[in-house]
Amino acid sequence: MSELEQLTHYIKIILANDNVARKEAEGIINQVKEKNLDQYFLLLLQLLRGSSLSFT
Amino acid sequence: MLRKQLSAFSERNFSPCWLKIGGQTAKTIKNEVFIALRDEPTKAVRYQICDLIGELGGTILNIDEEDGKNASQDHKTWEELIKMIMELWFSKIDTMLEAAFKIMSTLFSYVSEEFLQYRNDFYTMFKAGMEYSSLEIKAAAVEAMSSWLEIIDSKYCKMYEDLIPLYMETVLFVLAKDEDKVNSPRNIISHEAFRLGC
Repeated sequence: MSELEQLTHYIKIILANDNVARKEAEGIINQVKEKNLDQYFLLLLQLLRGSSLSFT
Repeated sequence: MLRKQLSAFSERNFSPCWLKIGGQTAKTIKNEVFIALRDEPTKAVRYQICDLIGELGGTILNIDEEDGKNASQDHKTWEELIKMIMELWFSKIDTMLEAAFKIMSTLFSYVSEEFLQYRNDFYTMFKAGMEYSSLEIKAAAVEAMSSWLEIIDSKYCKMYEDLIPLYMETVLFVLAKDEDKVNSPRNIISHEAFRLGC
């Protein structure tokens, strides 16, 4: 799974009804955010555009 | 998610990240949000992108000297913002005309001084928007004008006085057609516009 697909997957979990899974997904997304904030926002932007931005 | 995490005006449990990202990322975001807006086919998502652009504009233009002392120019300025809004306007595409007003409506909740030099252009835009045939554009023009009149100094409101009959007529038209087209019918009428009209 690409990073974008993984992010999409966790966002879908956050938006679903399972509170335990949501907490876990939020934790994972926060880790990604802390690890590389710029890449996290570029992924979100890519998600918004639904197309391929290159990460440099 | 982008808006909530980048905007300085989000709920308290969101810590704004705008000044924490790199300058190049900031530049990319500022450019890409307009491309995303242009390419987005879904109205609801377009509205969210408009809110994102408006709040991001407000966030950037409200960065004070202390907060911005270590930030790059890409964090502290958005010189292309008004140019991009004007481009949406001049595109003559209905969805983009509406988007221009939606962005202005959000943006003017946070900033005014920087845009006073465009007050004559805004006059032309508000008038043309309210005279437009599309209900969505009429409603968006009313919202943008309300937002603008609410935030600018009273001395600048005078020049919009002759738009008040058209403004009131448009409000009544929009409300009669579809109340949902405007966020809050009770709040649609700008206090300033109401004062000017009285």
